[in-house]
Amino acid sequence: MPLQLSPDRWSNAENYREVFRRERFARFLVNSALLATVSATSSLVVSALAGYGFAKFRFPGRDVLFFAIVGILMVPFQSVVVPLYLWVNRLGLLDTYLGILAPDLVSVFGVFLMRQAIEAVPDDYLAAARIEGCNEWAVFWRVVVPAVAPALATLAIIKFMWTWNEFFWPLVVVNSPAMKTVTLGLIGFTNMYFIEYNLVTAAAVLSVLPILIIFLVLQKWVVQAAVMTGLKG
Amino acid sequence: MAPSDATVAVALPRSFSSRRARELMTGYLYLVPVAIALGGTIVVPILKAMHMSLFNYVLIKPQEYGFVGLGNYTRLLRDETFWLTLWNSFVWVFGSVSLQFLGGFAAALLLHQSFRGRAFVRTVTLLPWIVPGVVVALVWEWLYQPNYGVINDVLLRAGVLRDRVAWLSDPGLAMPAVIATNVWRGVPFFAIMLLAGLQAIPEDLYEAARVDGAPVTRRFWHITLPLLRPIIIVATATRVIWTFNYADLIFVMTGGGPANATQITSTYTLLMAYANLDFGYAATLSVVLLVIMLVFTVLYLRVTRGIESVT
Repeated sequence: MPLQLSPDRWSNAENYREVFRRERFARFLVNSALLATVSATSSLVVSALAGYGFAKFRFPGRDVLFFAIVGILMVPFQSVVVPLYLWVNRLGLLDTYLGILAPDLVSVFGVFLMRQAIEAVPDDYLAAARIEGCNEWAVFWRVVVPAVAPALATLAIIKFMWTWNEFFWPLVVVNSPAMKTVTLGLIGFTNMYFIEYNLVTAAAVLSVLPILIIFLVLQKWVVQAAVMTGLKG
Repeated sequence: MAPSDATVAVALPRSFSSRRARELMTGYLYLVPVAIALGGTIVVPILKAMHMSLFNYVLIKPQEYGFVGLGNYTRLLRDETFWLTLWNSFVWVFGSVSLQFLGGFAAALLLHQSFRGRAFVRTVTLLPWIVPGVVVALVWEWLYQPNYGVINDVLLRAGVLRDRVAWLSDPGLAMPAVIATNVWRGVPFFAIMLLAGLQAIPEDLYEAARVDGAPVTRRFWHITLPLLRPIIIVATATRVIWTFNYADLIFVMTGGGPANATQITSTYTLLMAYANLDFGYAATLSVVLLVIMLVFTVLYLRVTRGIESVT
């Protein structure tokens, strides 16, 4: 048989239907989308607050704390996985969304990114808002957040992608098919139907597609994120 | 009345000090969420892991549970597999990062040139970086597949190979094979980082050098490389840390096999926890991983004279 890149026939829609028929792939997609959205949102909120605190307030221990948080960037996930698993188990969170999300709710990189971004917001803006009678909360929401919108967008996208790609932690925490993420679903699918290359590749395409679409639509931001992270793969 | 004067006199300093106090408090308040989250999911678990590493704690042998002091650490020193994984980690990290760097640098220099369709090529370059590691692992597993895999097929047709090669189940080839996959995945990262660096170098510098008659190699060594140094330092450091900790690819492609040929310390830790349910020993390994990363970071920052000079 000669080497060829194009398929013999383009009947592949059938393969995709078959994937959904055999496993709950739609559910996996929904799970991953949900988890990635929540983790991106919570990282945004937590990182923006912390970044603001670090960038615009002076208090004892600030720099030490910031340095400690950045230091956490190099902590291997393996170093925390065993205790985390035991606690999640004890709290009855195995096989729940909260259990899967637990280590993903914050992003150390996000704190770093937001501090850099917020530091660039001129202090005069904040002072002007305060003089006009904005309270602390309004300063944050109406002045700081809009000013760093690009950094927030970058963080949201990157965190969404990271959570979507997450593999080992969900593997440890999830037992039931209904809670599987796309990466787990794909591995399970591959192990079960490994000879049926047509189906397995269709499943692989399905699990990349959402990320691919995000990437193509928001390309500019993703490239920026790639440059700014430099921190994770 | 005197009291009114008194209130004014007192009120000023009080409001001043309370404002200062409030400002202090606000600063801390903004950090509360991140402190709780990181404390709960990283700091306390690390302490807990250190504590667990002092215990014999195998989930399926509860009767043997007990304090063993540094017993797990002496076991580690005598564990030949651990030393093998450490060596494998070194090969894995060094092989992956150096080749990713070279490939990424070449790609960045290429993408920095102007040619038709450059925007498209740049986009495509980034693709391996955004694809989930698990998908990368599966796809490459198929490529390496001995009987149907494209790699064997192409090499046989080209006459490079005479027989089919079982890339991932040959102890001598498995590590190079997974490294090749990791290189493919990591090149975009370096390419994008270095491209951003290249674009930040003012064109005047090259112009001046050209006027002075500096050949292209001189321009590279005396302008491009020194100006990219900060980016190179940060990118390689983060990449080394990340690759050392990264387990997904090996976990899916070989599971650390054949015969531990691709077992790196991070997959070994996960194996101990997840397959052997030996939580005490896994915790010990995880503490060692953390120490290795600490030592690396400190040394690296000292050698390259600090991250501060970079940012």
